[in-house]
Amino acid sequence: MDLSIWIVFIGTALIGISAALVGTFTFLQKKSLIGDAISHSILPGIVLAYIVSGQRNTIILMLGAFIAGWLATQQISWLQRKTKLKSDTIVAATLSIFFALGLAMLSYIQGRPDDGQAGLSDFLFGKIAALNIEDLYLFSVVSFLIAATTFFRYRVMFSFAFNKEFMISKGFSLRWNDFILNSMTILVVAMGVQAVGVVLMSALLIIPVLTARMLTYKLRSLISWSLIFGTSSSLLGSYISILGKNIPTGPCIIMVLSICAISVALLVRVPFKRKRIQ
Amino acid sequence: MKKAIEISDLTVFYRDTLALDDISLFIDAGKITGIIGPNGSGKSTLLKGILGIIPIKKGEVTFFGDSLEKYRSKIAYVPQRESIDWDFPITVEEVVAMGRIIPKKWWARTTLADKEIVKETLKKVQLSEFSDRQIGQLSGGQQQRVFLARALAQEAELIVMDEPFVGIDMASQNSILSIVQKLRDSGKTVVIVHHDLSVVAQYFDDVILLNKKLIANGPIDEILKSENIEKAYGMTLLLNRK
Amino acid sequence: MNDVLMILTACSVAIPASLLGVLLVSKSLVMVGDAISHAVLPGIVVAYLLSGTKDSIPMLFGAAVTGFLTTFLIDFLRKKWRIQEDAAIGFTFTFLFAIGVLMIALFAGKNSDLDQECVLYGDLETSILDQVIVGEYLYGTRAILQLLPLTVILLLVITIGFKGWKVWAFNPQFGSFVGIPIQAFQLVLMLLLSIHAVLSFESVGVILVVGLLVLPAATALQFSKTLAKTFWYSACIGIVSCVIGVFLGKWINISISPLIVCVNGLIFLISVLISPHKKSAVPNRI
Repeated sequence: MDLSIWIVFIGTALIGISAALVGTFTFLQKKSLIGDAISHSILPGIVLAYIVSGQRNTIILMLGAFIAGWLATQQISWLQRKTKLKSDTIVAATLSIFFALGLAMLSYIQGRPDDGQAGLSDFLFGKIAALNIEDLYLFSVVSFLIAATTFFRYRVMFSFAFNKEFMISKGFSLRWNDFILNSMTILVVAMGVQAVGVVLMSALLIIPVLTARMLTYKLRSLISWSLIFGTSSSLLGSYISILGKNIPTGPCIIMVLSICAISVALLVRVPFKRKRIQ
Repeated sequence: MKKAIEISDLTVFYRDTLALDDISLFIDAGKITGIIGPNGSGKSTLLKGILGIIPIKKGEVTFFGDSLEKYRSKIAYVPQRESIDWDFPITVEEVVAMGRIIPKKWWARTTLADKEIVKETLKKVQLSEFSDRQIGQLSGGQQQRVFLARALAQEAELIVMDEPFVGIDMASQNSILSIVQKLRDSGKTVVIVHHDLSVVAQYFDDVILLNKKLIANGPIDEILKSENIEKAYGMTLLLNRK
Repeated sequence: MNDVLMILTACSVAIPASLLGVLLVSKSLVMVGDAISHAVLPGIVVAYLLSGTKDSIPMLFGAAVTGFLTTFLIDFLRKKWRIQEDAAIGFTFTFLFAIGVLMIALFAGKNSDLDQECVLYGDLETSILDQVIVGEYLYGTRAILQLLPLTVILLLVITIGFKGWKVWAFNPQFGSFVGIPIQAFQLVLMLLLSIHAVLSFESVGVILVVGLLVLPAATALQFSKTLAKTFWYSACIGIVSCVIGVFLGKWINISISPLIVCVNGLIFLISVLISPHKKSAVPNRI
């Protein structure tokens, strides 16, 4: 196997691991769709970074993505404080504004929105083959950050997801907890869209933990199963897409994930029925 | 008598409406104090306001003379059951273990000492055999005991409970009350938000009657006079006390 | 003339969107609406592959099928597999969208008329070139002519069923109890939504459609207190944004469909700033 294939496998594995970890906690907070919102919202950041750097420089693109993602979460918070609109309305409003802004900027720099420079389009719709070795170093750093944060903070994040009032009463800061989780989400999305694209990104965050949840109610197992499903599907999916030559990576990975989820659901029959003990 | 909680001029808004109007009162240490009032009277809001869970418009609260920040680690908060997602993937033991997390050492794993305390408290509430179950598998009364166990695991001086007796059977109710009494007897202060008047007469030492404003506050015998009830609930009640 | 056509085409997408959006926002179905808009991709692809064209009838059929499929799947996942709502929605639309993209890659190839990008963001300027000319008369662009009947049907559905919609939005259990077919209302909404998404993707694209669905309704809610007024304000805001968007687009060299959504967004954010409603006192939410 030559280097580019190694890069593809390691890259998707890192994305799969990070997404499974972060996705577990957004799932527990019942905010799975924030990944979708963020993946759409990073567009203007990426376009701006592209304009500034003039080429496909992953670090700068990810930085742009991070800033845009962070601004989007700020807008969401602000709207939640300032209006009586429900969460889904606020999230959808934010993602469409940011995405439209990004498209508008894109069309400004080159006339037609679907004429995207190759680098940009790959970044948005996923083209894992476009990754190079420097990108992989960056992914490793980001993945390590995410893994380390999860390792140290999982108890706090878990408790916040379950009973945030209790944690507030203990003196923990909800703002800080949300900031950390949002930042991890933005980082993982900025990495992940390069493999699966904007629309399918939330699948990487949601489906592994959703499948794991059908198998267990204990946190340690939940995280472990998420990691197993997420990573193996990413690897298998990219392998299939390489075999098929013309098939984009994103849908392959998502199909593998979905088949896993459906198989588990059928095997477990009725997942986790609640039994009352009297 | 030491003052466990002293509240001055507390005013709280909840979604643009006035929930608590200029409340000033104190709660004695080492007693079981009940906070009673009709629906919407601000009972839960009072608890959440003094614990910093919701923002307050104005007012000051001290705990044994200290600010909330200084005294926080000694307060245990038992939330309303309706605010919990019973399908959440968490076991009985994990809920109780939450009681051992502290902000200063948030990264810490559960130590062996912590695990011992968790085991002990589960024994105290008679839930040892359920420690590995998902919380949704328990009955209402058992679920309430899990949260009480978490409060016990915190080894707090002040225990604050929000409507702990809603929707649980008599046996669980009595079991919880006996634990609460043991806490009081060992010198802890317990504050309970309660929804009706039936249990009050037997177990509470002091009572606070609330309806957005403070109606009355004091030992149970004095407070439970008809005219006070009328002011709080807007109607006359016949009480039968043993 | 082209300006007029663009405004009319944009409005024919925006008006039904702003009305449908009011219903979605009232019932917190916005993300379900987002899911349906994305999930129509496989429906469009299948219709295209089976019929060989991008004609309306097979497309509409594809739309209806995916609309129902999406709603059914989300419901199934929630009730039978007991998956939480946000995850059920996320799983469903990504799964269906992935199938759509795979089908395009495997069966439609690079030379075909259909590709992922065009479905995602559409192109107003070129879509108006698709005009219907009978004899000497220009009847309008294809988008206008397709969306006009949809708008009429939608208006009828809203006005005739108005009391039903109110009950559906605010107190469905009561509605079921007194015999109002609440399920039917919901299905009709999902159906109209899918059809709208399919008819709009060429001019606006499915992601921008979400903006047209949510933003006018969200803005309207800052100022109105009744359902009827919300519908009116929402439609007006939709129209105004289209007009401003088209004119801005001539002045600066930016693609019009995203511009219209940006204008909508700006109006929304300004309305939040100046809104007469007071802030709610609930802290620390996200």
